[in-house]
Amino acid sequence: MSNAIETINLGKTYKGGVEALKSLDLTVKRGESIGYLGPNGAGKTTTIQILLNLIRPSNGEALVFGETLIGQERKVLQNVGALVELPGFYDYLTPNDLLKHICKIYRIPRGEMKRTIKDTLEQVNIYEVENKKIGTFSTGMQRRLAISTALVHNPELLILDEPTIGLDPKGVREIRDLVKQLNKDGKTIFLTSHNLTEVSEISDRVVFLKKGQLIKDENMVNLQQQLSSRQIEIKFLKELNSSQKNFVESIDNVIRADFGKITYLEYNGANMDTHNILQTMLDNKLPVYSFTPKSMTLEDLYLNLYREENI
Amino acid sequence: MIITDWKNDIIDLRLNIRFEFLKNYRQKRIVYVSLIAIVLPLLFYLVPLLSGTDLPEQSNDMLSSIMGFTYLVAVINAIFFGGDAINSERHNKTALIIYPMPQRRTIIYLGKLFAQMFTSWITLGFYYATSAAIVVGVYGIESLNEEMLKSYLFVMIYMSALLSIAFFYSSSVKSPPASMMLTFFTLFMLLPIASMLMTSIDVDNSLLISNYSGFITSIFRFPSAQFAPGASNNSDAITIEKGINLSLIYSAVLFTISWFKTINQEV
Repeated sequence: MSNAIETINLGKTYKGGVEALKSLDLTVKRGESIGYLGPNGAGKTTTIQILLNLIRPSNGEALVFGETLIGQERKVLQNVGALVELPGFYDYLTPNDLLKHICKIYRIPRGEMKRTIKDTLEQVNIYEVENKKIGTFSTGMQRRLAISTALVHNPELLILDEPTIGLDPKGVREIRDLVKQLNKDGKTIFLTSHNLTEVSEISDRVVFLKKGQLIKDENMVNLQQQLSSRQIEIKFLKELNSSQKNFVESIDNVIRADFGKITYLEYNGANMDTHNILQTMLDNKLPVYSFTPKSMTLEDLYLNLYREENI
Repeated sequence: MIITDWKNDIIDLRLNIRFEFLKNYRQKRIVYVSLIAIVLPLLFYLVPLLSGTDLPEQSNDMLSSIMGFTYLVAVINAIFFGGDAINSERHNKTALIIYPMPQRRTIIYLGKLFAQMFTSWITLGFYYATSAAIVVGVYGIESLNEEMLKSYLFVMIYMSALLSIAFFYSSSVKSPPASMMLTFFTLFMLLPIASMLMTSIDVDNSLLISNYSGFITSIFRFPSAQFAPGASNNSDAITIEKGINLSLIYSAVLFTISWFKTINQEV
């Protein structure tokens, strides 16, 4: 069975020479939930735009369910639901007007249309405004409507670009739960988000992109192992002098130390290394008051990854 | 693919035309333009009536006066229905909803073109229907003649050329207000001024579409008037056949350019 998404040597150079994507090779299996991360300008939205045939690649190929998009948009996009950036709406239409048109384009039978629209709007909690003009909606309601346009035809692949932006905390929770449920139901999720808690909750694989290139591709289980206990929070009884600070930085496996009221150490190696680090400090009479190994979050990893890469 | 999927293309085309009609209706643009198309000819009846002035003796005189403003209604149609037809989707980011759907962009484009063309013909139809009703009311049913039908048929073709100019700007300029303004200035100022300047230096201006608006009324045997500002139909080179052919050429060329730009536009 073909992959949900496959890009082969995919590249995009915009007019003016800006290279947004460079030889991207990426595979997303059916049923996977993938978090697609990177700072602004990394090429996330460009990838999505190519996958939806909104822009053409400069080189390489993008396949969706094993098919190239160019010239086959009807066949390929039939099973794709997309939310791209912050889409606009026709303010003078109602959700019902818009979703009816979308249902017709996806060939949802007339008899099922009303029920489908009702179910979809209920999923995103805006059914009660089905016949109100979209122009009167708050940002959060428009966001929910945008998500409904991606869901209404029950697609196999959902491409969601920052799906919870503009939502209140309750809305964020609802949409996250909905996306998780859709993934459990077998849908493939391709998610970009700057909310890394969201990505770690929803995704079972995370891909990091930098300046149009893939720099890390890891499944969430491995990533969680890597993230555990890679940071130590230390309080000293008194501030360290510069030679003591240099010594701390030179301890085996310590890769960075941020000194302050609380000192944070990042280190390479296994969990057992924390013991060696503590022992080395005590052997050298450093005034350690507390020593707490911490779990890194995906956010810490993200910041480290892009700091190391001089972003 | 283009050939084998033509049945779906036709279904999509019909859906897109209906969607564009719905948008025109909900935006109330069609209501406003229709109101203009109905009220404008009525003024030619009501103003003389209320001021106690005599109406023209001949029905064709009356029709000729009323039809002198058909160009105005046609330009309003071009601005309202074509001026932002393409670029508004990108500018307002509605393209991010419409374009990722499983339909060819050519079909979306054709849906817009046909919907706006039909809408323009409908509002012009209101203008002609109201004018006909006035003439019948004042001069009797026998005053209706085939010239009126000929004039309407000519306007339908002429409207296509005006709309193609609007579509051309709408697919070439990013900002909808800018393309609407460009359509307005081109049809009301640029073409007429160019026409006058070309006449003044004795250069053939028969390829300027604005010169042919006079045929809307000259069909009523009153070869009059520069109904498009600056337009002239005095030249021997300007004939109704040429007007029809030129309208078709303008439409073919400008719609093709705007179609090409639209399907290759990056969203």
